Amino acid sequence: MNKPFIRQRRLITSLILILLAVMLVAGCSNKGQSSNSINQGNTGNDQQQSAPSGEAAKDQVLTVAISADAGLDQLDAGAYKGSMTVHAMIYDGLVEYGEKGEIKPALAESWDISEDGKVYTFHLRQGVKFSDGTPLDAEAVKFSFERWIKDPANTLNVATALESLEVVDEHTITMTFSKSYYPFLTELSFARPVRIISPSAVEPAGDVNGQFVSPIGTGAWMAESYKTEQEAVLVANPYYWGEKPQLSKIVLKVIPDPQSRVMALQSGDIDIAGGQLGKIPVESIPVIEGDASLSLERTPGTNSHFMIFNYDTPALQELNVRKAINLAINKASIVGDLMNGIGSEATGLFPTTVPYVTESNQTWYGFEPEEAKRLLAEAGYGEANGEGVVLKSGEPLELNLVLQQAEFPEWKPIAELIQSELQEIGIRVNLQVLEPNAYYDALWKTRAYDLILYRTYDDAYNPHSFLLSLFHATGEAPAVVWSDAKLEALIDQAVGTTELEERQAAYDSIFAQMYEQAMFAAIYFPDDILVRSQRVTGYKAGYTTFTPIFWNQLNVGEQ
Amino acid sequence: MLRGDGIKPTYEAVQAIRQALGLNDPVYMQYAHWLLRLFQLDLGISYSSGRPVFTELMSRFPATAALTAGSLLVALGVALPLGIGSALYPGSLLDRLGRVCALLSVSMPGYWLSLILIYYGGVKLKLLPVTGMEGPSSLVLPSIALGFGLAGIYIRLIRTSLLDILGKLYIKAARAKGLAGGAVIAKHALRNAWLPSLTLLGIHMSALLGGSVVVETIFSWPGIGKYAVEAIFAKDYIVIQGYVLLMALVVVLVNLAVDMLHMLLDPRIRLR
Repeated sequence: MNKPFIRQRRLITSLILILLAVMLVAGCSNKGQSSNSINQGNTGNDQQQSAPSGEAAKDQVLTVAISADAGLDQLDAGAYKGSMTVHAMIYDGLVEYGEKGEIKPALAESWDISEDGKVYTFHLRQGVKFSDGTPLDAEAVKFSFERWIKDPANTLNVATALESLEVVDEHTITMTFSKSYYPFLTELSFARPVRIISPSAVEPAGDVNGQFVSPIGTGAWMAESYKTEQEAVLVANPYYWGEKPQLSKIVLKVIPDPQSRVMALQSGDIDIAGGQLGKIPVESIPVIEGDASLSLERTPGTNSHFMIFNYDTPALQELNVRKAINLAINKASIVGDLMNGIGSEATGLFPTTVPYVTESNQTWYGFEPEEAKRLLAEAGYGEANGEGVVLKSGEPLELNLVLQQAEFPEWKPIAELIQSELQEIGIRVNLQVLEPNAYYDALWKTRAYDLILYRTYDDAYNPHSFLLSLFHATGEAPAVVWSDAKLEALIDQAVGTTELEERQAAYDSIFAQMYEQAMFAAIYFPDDILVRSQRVTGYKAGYTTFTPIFWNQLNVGEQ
Repeated sequence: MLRGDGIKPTYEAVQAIRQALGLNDPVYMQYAHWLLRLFQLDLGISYSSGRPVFTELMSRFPATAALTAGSLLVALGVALPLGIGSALYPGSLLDRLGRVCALLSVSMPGYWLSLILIYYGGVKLKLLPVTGMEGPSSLVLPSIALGFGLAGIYIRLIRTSLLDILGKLYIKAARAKGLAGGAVIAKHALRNAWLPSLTLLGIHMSALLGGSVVVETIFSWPGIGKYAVEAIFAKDYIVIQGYVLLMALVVVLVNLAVDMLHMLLDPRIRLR
């Protein structure tokens, strides 16, 4: 062998060795790199591993499965980032959302509203401290609001209608708005961006334009450690003003796959899963019911699934056709056969868990296919053609139904059932399953559908916010679901009045109008499903999706 | 990016974000900015998570690299003994086992095998952690799930190439000159039989380093594949760009390594 060749061979060998070494290092260093502690601001808990107060034997640790990263390192109270559930655990708002939208005191002990509904004075709870010991006062509240309220991307009414924010004294703050809008208080109960963050959570401390550093709130929980895409650990806040939690620690573990969540529950790796934390698949319910170590908790939800009629489609502009479609859908079969009984038949746009929705103001169409056929005939749809589709002036009644499966896999079987039921009364439906981006483009922008499956927003957005954004023109854009001047006027009246009775009356007429005009096809009200291990006790369902459980009342025992 | 999934963004919110992201600049300016930042290893900020893409990719890549190493180890650990054994003793019990393994390996869907592994390994026997990345034991199940699916191809490939070479004249010559059976196999036959498998290994390695969505999702493995697919569904172009760039680099490096290994193993390439 000649010399240059040996040199070349050495070079190659060493290059390969370097490459292998790099890969080995990359492969081994994963643990150190992805973990980062985010508790710079927390007193008494500087060491990530130190057990709180040394009571190792009494440690009550709850492990919860979440479907997506908690984003604890960027959980700024004023930003729309990270997990909403964790927002609500770390930060408190001025007020809290109770059963059926009842507004309860939180950081504000009480509040006064002026006659004209424009000036709100909040009296803060005294002696409250943030999780790092910083006292909560009116300045801290002002600081929290000023951090996000000017950002044009924030479109809450408390932000857009706010005229001034004044500190009266250490424990009193007033907000003056440009209009009267009863859901101001509801908006102040949201998980974000309205909750209160410590002035010490930003760098430089107390600067409204400061950089967010760590999540410091007044909530019952505070951040301990965080590994991106893996887990977030919360510990009890020693300064918490309310009922002290029984648990000392909550570990939120990321498990994206629904089947894996069920198996992790079965293996005992996690104690709680479900709801908006990460859905439990309907088909796993028999498995869970058959497992003695698990128990299934069902709570009626606040959202509803329904089908929008495109008011630009000529056929759907006829009331009889809209009524006929409603009458042809067997809602009992959807809930019983397709959803395994998890949920209930829709009786209107919102279930009665939503404020202002009562048994008495909800009426909807039943399952009456013969009546549906009669209404179609009345609308001028005559004899069916060879394929069983009814015709009007020679044109068959054919509609396309748009849906997406990524967020709501159950929509596919529901759409198929609707398709076959509408075929029965002579309407041909073509299904169009789109990926989420294309689906939302169709819904919000292009209106390229005749029928489209959709759902209402969750909890605190109902009913006012949902009605305003979907049944009311926004800016120059016409209403999304149904455009009706009379209905829009009623919505304006409902949200603008400070009189409870007048508001209830306006909502009653809104729901009655929706029924009379058959503005959409109501389908079903889902239940929230949550699975817990039998060793978890003290379970009580919360009233919002971002507080699915009253965490402070939970206890873990031996299995 | 705006208020969350399924909630209607307002016009003002959309405009504010367009401005903040610099999307109102002309395209060539946007490209120039991107290039300039690239040289500072700044791949931009993810639309959906608000975190720097470079750090996000780098924090996930090691998990994927560990999974790649684990699954290739499993694939070769299964395939080498079965492949070599079935070539040396065609028609034997080992050969039949090899065939069955290869058939199972290529026909079992990865997600199904993953769920079966979790169910038996984690739920029934409680031997191994079900999800997450908590030390070396967490690597076992996902490595088997990914590695076993690859093993079948290698079993067949090693078997065919070894059989092919065992029939070559130079093997007969080596045997004729009285070399011991083991030496013939190890020094003359296997060394030549590696080559096709090595090429394939390079391709598989690049593919695995790109991440596996299914296995990562089922085992809650914080790897790069799921991150990329989520970015695609969220139209998070900044992340997709960064991912494509990283993958291009990985493929080039892996191919380079494979080519150099070929040179080392095969004198015919070296001497050309």
